Amino acid sequence: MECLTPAVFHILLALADGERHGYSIMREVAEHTNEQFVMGPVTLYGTLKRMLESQLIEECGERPDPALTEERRRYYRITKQGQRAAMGEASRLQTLVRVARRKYPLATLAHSRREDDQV
Amino acid sequence: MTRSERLYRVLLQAYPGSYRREYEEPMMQHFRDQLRGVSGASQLMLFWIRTMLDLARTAPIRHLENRLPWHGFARFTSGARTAIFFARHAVRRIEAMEVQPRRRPDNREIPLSQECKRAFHSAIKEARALGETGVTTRHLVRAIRQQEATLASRVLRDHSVEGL
Repeated sequence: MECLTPAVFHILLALADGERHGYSIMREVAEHTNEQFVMGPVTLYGTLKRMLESQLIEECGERPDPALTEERRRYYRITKQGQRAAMGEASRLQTLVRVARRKYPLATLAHSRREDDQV
Repeated sequence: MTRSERLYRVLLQAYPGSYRREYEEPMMQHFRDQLRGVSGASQLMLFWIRTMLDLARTAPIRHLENRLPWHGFARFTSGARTAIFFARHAVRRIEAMEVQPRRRPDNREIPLSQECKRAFHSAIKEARALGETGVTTRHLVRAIRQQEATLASRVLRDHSVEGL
């Protein structure tokens, strides 16, 4: 199975809760990564185009977003194939994390302790 | 339209025309959305620095992509692209051996024949039907083999290269 690029995986995760337009996808990705992964418009639209071509997502009409302006916006939603790809990537990453935990037990412990402190 | 918007529209000229035709409006909309979240001079400055960096990083890539020999082959895996690259390389070598070598402007790609385009299309369809995200060499070979009466399909059949 081919691995997904970070941008593709983040977009698939952002669309998991339902349809979104481009700007809303970017905001959702920025929020779920604590502003660590902010996509520029070129990366975003380029990636969306490739994802449409490989049928990971599909367009689902244009309409204004009541939370923003009156402008019409193009909405995207995830396809069955996109859901499969996201789940595949998640389990691939899970396997990697398991290996990393086994090989670097001290480092992962230290990291998770830091996370606990933040909580 | 604000001054920032006008400036951004001018800056979008840095992208290739084909890209602008498709994305100018969504990008302007995206820019307006981002601009609404910006308040104060220092934030505006920071926002413009980010925007300029994004532009400086991505505009050259878009120009480059238009020149790459596999422009339009986004769905093909690197293995399949390599195969196509070597196929074109082989054509160049054969042409160079001809008594009267055909002259082609240096950077011009060798055009694809109709059969070749049809084979690419069926390889894409095949990959899609199998639910795979990329077109591999296996899909290409299968697509060529399924063609009716091309030289390549005859060679594959005569040498019993099966569906792989």
